[in-house]
Amino acid sequence: MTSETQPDGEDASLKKAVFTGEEGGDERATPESDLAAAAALAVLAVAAVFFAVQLEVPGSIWTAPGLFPIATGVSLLAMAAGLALKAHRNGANLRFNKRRRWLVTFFTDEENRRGGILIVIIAAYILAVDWLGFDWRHDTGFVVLRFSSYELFSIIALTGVLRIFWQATWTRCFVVSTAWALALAAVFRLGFHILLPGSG
Amino acid sequence: MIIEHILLALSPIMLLTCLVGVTLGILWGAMPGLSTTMAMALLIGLSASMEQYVAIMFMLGVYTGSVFGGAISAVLINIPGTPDAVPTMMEGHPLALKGEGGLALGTAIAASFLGNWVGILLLIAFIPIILLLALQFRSWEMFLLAMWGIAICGSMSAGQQPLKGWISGWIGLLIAFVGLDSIHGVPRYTFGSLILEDGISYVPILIGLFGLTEILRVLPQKSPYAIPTEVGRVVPPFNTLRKYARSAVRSGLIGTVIGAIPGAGANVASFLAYDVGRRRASPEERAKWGKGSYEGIVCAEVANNANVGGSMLPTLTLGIPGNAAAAAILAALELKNVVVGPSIEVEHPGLIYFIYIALIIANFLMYGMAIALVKPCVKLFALPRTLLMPLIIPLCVVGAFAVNQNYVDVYYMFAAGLVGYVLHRFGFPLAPMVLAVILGPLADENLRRSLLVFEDDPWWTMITDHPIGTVLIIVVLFTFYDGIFRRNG
Repeated sequence: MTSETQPDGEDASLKKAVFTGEEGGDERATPESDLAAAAALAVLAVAAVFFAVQLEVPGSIWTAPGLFPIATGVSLLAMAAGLALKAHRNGANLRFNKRRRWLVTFFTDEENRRGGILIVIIAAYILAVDWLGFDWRHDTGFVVLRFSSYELFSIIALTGVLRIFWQATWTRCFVVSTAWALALAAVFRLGFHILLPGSG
Repeated sequence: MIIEHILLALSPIMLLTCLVGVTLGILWGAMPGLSTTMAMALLIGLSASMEQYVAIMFMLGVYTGSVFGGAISAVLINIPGTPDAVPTMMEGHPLALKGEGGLALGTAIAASFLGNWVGILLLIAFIPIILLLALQFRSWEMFLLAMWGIAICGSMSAGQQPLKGWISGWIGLLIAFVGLDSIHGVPRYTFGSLILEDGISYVPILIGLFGLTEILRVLPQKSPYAIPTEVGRVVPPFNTLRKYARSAVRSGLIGTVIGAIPGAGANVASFLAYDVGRRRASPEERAKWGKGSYEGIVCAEVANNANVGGSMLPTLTLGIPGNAAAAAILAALELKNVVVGPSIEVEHPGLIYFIYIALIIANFLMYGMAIALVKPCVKLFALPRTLLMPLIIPLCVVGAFAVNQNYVDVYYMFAAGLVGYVLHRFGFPLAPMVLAVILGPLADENLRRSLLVFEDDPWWTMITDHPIGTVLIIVVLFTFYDGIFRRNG
């Protein structure tokens, strides 16, 4: 048996075999990222309160639709302040040069770039299934063969993703994608009678 | 009624469904990077077209199978299939290197079997008590219970920064508010959109956070692993288990209790049981820990499997999922119009007994299939993650769409996946958000109802007339106090 392996993932629990909570997360954050998160959360909290205050109050103040959202927004703002304070205590530094360096590092990091490409492909795939929907049917007398935008764009998107990440030949990626997309469609459509997106 | 449900669970179609679920769960759990929660979230869509009892049997089979599955890759390739298998990896892989991989896996199988039994028996024992207590809950108590669920989930899932867990939960609450409010029908956070008035279903959120987010974070990583060539004979050694009976029972209790706490799942259970086991081991046994200890495997595997039964306790009695996987079961049940909670025995008589039997059947099948599937799993490890993970993308799309047959859910799923990815990068846990999206409407409605009831009464009646509520207030405050002061020093 061979084992040149390292535990996968970036969870500290997997790398160091140290428990860091059900999901961990401490190791991924820096004081700077915590400070940035706190700022974004503060904006979200203020917006939540702003829109909740404007909601109409049809009955008693105690049943007002905005009551709980306001309380949630205010407490979220307090939590954002707490996160910012903690980040500051941990030495958060948002000097411009450091921030620019962080941005440059973020976009030149290969893992981030690959992640970005993946997001773009999935977004294009989801939009294409919706916007370019079609449903081709052919009755063989025995069974109705169907091919919809879900299968087509699943094949195209999967071929692209497999080519980038699996790095097999285009032909292999296409064959695997086609087999998988058609099998999935058959299982859901014929086996479980579940309508597929894009096919109505 | 009870006999009827037992016979239903034992019918051939149910046994076959459970077998398929357990097999799928073991294979899924064994694959590094594919978690139990991910399996459960994706399969909600598939269960949508199934008959109610078939769907429950299927989901419980997958749940039971996938929790064990993580041990296979942990022992054989030193990568835990699921995070709760890390302690098993620490002890099992050194044994595999000594040529005792088969025995280590056999121990894990036997321990998992025992752990499931402990969880099921405690579930059966405690459900009547919790149900009796839960029937006393009114709006105020239900609100406090929901808030405690979100708060404790935040604390338990975020490691040393409970604040981040709570923030994640609070974001989930804001998502839950979107749509028409349940009392007056006033649109909240809809910005004039009719689509948003329907609210945001938590199924696409669940699939986005635990399906798409996982793909986005795991697929771009490069982490090749070596494929084992030799496993050895897999024989569950019950003599070994008897030798560590005390550790096994203790770990089973830990696993079940942890499972019953919202947000604390199999990961907390296996680490805690492993840690307690190490500290309580005899000196000669303790010397083996970290270098290949069968007792360590027993502690971890008994605990994470006992967690399955434990997590069903709050899910069935209070409608508060014990962990993210149980949230998926809750979603599958709701799709079948099964509303779990204090009145489950009145509204769905016999269902609880069906679930008991389903868990027992799943446990027996897990035992058999685990032995049968170890060698095929080794072959499965030859499939690169870069091939397997992309194949889940179309599943996420179908899973999100299938529940309501509405493509807007696919957009919600994608948005949730992106938000989950960003939050993960910033070190925020995701389970509290899911729990809050589920419990948000319950908390909102019950808070306003109870405030309306209290409106004409002096404020102290809130405490004097509601002893359970007062206990819950103390528990909620303690949860926040513990998170703010004790953990952060």
